[in-house]
Amino acid sequence: MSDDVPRPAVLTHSFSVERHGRRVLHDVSFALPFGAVTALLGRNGAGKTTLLRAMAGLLPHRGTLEILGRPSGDEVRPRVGYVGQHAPLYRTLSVAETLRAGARLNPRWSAAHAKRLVDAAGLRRSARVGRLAPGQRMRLAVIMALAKRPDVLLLDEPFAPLDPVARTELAGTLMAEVAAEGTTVLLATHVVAEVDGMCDHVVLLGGGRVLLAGGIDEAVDGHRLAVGDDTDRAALAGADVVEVRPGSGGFTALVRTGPPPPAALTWQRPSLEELVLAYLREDSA
Amino acid sequence: MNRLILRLMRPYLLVALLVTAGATAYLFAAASTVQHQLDARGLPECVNPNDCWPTGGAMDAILGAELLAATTPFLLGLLLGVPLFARERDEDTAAFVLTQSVPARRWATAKLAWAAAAAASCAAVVGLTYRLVMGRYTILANDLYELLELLHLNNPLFMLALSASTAVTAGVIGLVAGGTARTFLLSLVWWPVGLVVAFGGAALLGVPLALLPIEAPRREAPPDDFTGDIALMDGFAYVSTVALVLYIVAIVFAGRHRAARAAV
Repeated sequence: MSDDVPRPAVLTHSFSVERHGRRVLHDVSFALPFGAVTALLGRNGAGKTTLLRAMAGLLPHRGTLEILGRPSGDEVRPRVGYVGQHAPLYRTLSVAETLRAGARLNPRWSAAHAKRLVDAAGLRRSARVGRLAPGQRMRLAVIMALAKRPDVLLLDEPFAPLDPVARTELAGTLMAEVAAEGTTVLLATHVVAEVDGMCDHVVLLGGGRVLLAGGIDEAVDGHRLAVGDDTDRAALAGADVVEVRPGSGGFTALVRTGPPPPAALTWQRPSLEELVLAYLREDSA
Repeated sequence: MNRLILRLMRPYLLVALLVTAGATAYLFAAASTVQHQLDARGLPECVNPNDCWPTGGAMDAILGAELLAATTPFLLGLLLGVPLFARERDEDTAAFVLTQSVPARRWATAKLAWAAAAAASCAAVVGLTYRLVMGRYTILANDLYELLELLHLNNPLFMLALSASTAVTAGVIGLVAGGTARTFLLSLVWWPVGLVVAFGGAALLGVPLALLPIEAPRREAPPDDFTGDIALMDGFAYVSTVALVLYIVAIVFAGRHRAARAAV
């Protein structure tokens, strides 16, 4: 890498994870720029949770994982926040005890920031974590990660248990954090609509492999939807086709842009959802 | 970190304290029962089973005390060791704590150390009570319970080491296998291994010691005084304790290594 190219906040190269003797992630390679909010998308079982757990240091892996320019491990752990699926927190502790635990376990902990976020979320400090609603528990888990003052934040389906209002509030909190601190966020979800407008990068996983990775605008600009009649299919010859879907008397194809498109077809810029769905459907097929 | 560990252990510590208190109370009650029988026979100071062989409730009390001394260290070790990591894996809270800023090795070591210390402390109370309060009475019937005595060697130090080793072993099994029920069953199955390590290690360590030209001090006791039986196995118990301590260190290192591999 030359000196004028900034190092990414997170870099994986040939990153593989095996679980119970079966390879779950295959040679995953991508880079997340500093301050990027990246959507980690994929179907259920695509390997999103495994990837995040391995990046958080919870699973052994092979290949390269660099976080903030250093190999992952104890040294960078204080600068990485992780929120697991279902917000794993100690259910027997109260909210206040959980916050105190966070303060004791993290040298970069910001008690003032935690207090502000807890107040904003309306969490009672005396409430037992086990008695919180799933959405409130997830809010607390995110607060624990944010008060750690991470430079890299890994979130595994944080919006899943939230109601629409809480979802909007949490998205606002995350965006404010990114704006204020320049935190790099990797956010796993399988709902594209959740991340459209919130994320600027995307990593698309399918069957434990990276199907697509990069900036959302570049990814969308790099593809076109071709719509045509069945008789025009031949016009796709030579095009780098991701997926072709039959319609009523015609077809819709997602194509990686290359040479000038054939005039016989109607070409459109795909939405992020169309792009993602096309890749996922093709991968499933 | 230590405060959090102790806070998480609190329910199990309370149960362990209850078990310890119950066992200690039973030992006092059992000693009192046997003493009452000796008093009733007009032999309050009797330490010769040929003169005052206990019967009925007194014999039951001695059997109870022997069973308690043999099983309580294991029970305490299981109580404190099984949930140590197994529950973390059940509830995935390991994903929370291991992604804080504390290295996994340190977290695992501290948890194992606290569990071992708590189990050892509780077992020490039971062991000392057994030895100091009940020991004098068990010699009246120790011909019957020699096999049970092999499980505790009449020695508080051995009992606390056994308890600590059980806690640490159960903790590491939980770390590796996960699942509270599975960890409990595997720890039960593993249970004799601790004894094999203790006695096998004692045999290995004891042979060179036995070759040393050291004469153990002997107490001259009258022929009808069997109190020497209480301390009969102390030498073997101390060497076994050393073997158990080495075993504990090895298990803790294995646990640290496992935690560092982060396959939690």
